[in-house]
Amino acid sequence: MQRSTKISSSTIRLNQPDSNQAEVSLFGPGVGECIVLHIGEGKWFIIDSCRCPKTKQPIALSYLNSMGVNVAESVVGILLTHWHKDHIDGAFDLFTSCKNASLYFSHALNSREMFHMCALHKKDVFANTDKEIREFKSIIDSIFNSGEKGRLIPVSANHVFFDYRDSAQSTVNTKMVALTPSPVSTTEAIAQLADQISQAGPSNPKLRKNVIGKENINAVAIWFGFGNWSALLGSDLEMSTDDDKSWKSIFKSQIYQKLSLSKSSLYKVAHHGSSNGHHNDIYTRLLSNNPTSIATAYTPSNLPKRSDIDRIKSHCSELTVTRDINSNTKLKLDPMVERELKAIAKSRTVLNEKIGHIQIRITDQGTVTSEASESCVYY
Amino acid sequence: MPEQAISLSFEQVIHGHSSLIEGQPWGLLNSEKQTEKSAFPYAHNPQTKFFDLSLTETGTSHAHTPNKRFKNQSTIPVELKDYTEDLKQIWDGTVISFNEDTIKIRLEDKITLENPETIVDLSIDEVSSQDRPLIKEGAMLFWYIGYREGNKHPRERFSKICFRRRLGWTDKEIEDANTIAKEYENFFINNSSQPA
Repeated sequence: MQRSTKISSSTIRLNQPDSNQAEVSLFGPGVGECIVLHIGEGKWFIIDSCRCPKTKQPIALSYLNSMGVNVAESVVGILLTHWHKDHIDGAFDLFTSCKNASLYFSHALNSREMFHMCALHKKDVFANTDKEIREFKSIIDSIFNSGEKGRLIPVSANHVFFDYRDSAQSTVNTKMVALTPSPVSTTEAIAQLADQISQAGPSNPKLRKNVIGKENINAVAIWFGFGNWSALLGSDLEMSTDDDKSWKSIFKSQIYQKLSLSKSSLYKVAHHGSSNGHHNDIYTRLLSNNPTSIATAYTPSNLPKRSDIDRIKSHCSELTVTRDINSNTKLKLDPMVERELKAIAKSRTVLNEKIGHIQIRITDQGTVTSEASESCVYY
Repeated sequence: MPEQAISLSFEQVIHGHSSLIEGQPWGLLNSEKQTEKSAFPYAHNPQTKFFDLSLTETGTSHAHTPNKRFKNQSTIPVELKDYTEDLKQIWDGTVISFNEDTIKIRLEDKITLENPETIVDLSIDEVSSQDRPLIKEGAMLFWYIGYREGNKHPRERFSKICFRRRLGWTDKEIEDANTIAKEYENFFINNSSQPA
């Protein structure tokens, strides 16, 4: 079993990186994930969104504001890798604050079926349900009303977000590419949406959950290169038995060879380190020897599990997780409620009490420095 | 506000239209907090005995549909209770998973809003037999813990889990949504220049 070291004090730097530096900042509160990228020259790119448990603000905004970044000008893109609440919470606030940013999401969501789903919730004015669909719908409505449809960019495998190689826009070769979703995954996701709509009717009660079940197969995995250094950001991409979907579609399509993508030395572990997101070929074909791995926890499923940590560590030099999977916090409850809960509940787990932050900065010479906040655990 | 009236509304919500108070501020069911926020539908009229259908999600939206089960809602009888309930805790819950013995629920605290969300495993016995058919992944519920007391009732602790009975969409709602989806489609996919 791997030994863990809890980070005792935060070493996160709150100065803006230099223009010739890149940054990968990973945030994870236990439920939720967000990556903030500095892509050089003062430009920022945000991947997914989650909220700070205390302030309820999108964590990316809080972080960038704390560094004095003008988010309205400097954030050039927001990518929602897939449509799960732990990856899109606060996306609408992000979108409205980052006025210069394009919004990228899986091609499946730019479909008639998804729009129908959004429209179904149009009159659902109640605050506490259907959060996933309403977050997305708020963005759709905002664009629909403003007419700025150019800000919405559907993404599928091979999509190049930016390519500043030999460009006047950057002194460092910088590029970002979507590795998934494959056309088959997109088609399947649209079919699932259609299926969900077909089930809507008087005989089926509305549920809180309005997310298609296999959305992780449709997640957008990213390759981000800065000079000779690169990172593989695995989102929640899970394995599929089908060669034309998920990780296997990356291997089959040979996108790395076609787009001359280098093996990465940093891996944001897919799907919170679960065995469902693992494939040995990720480490042998997409990553360099002994890469550094970073991951977010997912407390409802106790991810990553001990066995996951052992497995990941066997493939990489170090692993840092944004939250200790064994930690638990006491809630502020009335003593009577506490007693009652103790008597009734078989088990209980507190989510989202502290947000973990892993900050990695890379110079144009390829020097990598890594920092972490107190909630993180190093293996 | 007299606690009796508050208790009445509470019972209505649970047994009649559990979806009614969805989206309303919580922690209002004891008299102290009631005065702080008046957005609770009954705060304006403590004598309210029937639901104001304009506040329900089904009351108006289904009015023009052929679905007969939405009619006559205004005549729902109200059972008078001679006890009051002092609620110490309200959670808004969602079923994450379940098996024949256990139900896993994600809870949002509606009294202490800054409390983080919690996941609990409960025995299925905690759910009333009436509500058990409603257990489904994604199903919504309220969980109340508090004291109950009245002239003929000794003070006692109670824990009440109530599944919400949210109705499905009507045919008309689905049809309307389809029309809106066409507008979205024309704008986002078919390149029509500006929304109508």
